[in-house]
This record gives sequence, structure tokens and C-alpha cells, in this order.
Amino acid sequence: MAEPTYRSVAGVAREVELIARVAEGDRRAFEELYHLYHRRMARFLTRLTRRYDVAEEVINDTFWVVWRKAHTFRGDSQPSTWILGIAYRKARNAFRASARLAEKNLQAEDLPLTHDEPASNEELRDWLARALAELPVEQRLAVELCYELGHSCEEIATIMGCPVNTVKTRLFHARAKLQRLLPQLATPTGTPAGAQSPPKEA
Amino acid sequence: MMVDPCHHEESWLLLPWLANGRLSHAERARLEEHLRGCAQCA
Repeated sequence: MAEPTYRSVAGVAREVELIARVAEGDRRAFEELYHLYHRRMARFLTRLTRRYDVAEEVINDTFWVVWRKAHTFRGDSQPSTWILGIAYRKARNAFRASARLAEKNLQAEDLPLTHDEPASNEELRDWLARALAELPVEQRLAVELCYELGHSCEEIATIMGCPVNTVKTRLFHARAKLQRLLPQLATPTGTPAGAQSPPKEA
Repeated sequence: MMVDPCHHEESWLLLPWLANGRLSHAERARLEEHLRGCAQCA
């Protein structure tokens, strides 16, 4: 797992201050906020869209909204929840705008399956990337927000604009599918492991 | 120990946040209590 994103109290306070300064038109504060978020957003959006250019476009669109709407941030949620919520909506719009292209990019068929044992962490990450690519976008996003970016269930619900129970069931279905997929990717005769009966999506 | 099946399902739903350390103290305590007593989870 890369950098933990469970922000310290001081880190959150700093981001709240930066957003307040951005609301007053402070470009230096905007640059600092951009740099704080760019790397983790690029990583998470690139995995989501599998396209660097789309990820960059979503980041730029997101920060354009942050620049214009910073004055509306009231601190009801954490800055990361607010910013990633905007990014989520922008990413969703990008998918809709280029649905066919996105669909093509979301398919894993262009990634050949391998039956080799993972010899390195890089290969293990490749397995995971291919397994994640098989998940529906909403499930993959929930996985990224939880395991990669370290958000709580409530924060993910806020970011994705859905009920908490929906987040829980998306993660449940994602885990069940990954549990089936990973052995298949690892061995030619991988037997899917048994999973709990998945609850219906809320 | 008798395990409440509803609690078992609820516990499974919470596991991702046990992994990322974002459960509340109360949720974590309930989940850990369940994991100690549930034969399916053990």
C-alpha cells in the first residue's frame, strides 16, 4: 500500500486553511493544495480509467471546480472527502462522455492472463490490477477509496453520493469477485474459493 | 458460543475497514468480539 491517506489532525487543519485561502483567490494556496492531491488522485484515477490522459483531464476539471467553489466548502466533511467527491463526479461524467471508449478501456481482454507464479511485488500488483479491471467501475472505485486511499465507510458514501449500506455491499461483492478471480489468474486450474452469500445491493 | 447470523453478516461487511483501520472503537470492539467467538470466521 502506498502512502496512507488517513490524514492527521494537523494535515486536515492545513487543508481546511488552504481551501479557505483558495476561496479568497490565493494562487499559492491553490498550488499547494494541487500538489498535495495530484499524486494520489492520479494514481487512483489512472487505475480507474486506465488512461493517463483521462485521469489528468479529470484532475484538472476537479481543481477548476475547487478553485471556483472553494467558498462553498463549509467543513461539514473532510477536505479529502469533498475533493474526491468532486473527482468522482467528474470521472463519472468523463465515462459518460466517452462511454464506448471507456468501456473498451475497462475491458480486461487486452491484458493476457498469466499462469506464472508472481516473482515480485510488481507481478503481484499486475495480478491485482488485472483482477480489479474485471470489477464494475463502482466496485473498483469503492475498493480504491477503501484500501488504497484509506477512507471510512461514511466518507466513501459521501464521495460516491450513495447510502452507507450500498458502500458495504459494493465492497462485499468486490471482495467476493476478487476471491474468485485471483486464484484463476494465479493458476491454470485455480479453484474458486467459497465465499459468503452476497447480500443484495442496497 | 452461539453466533448471531445477522451479526456475522454485519461483521463480514465491516472487514474492509478493519483492514484499513477506519472502524470506530465501538465497531472494532464488536467485530473483534465476533471474530473471537465465530467458528466460521476463525
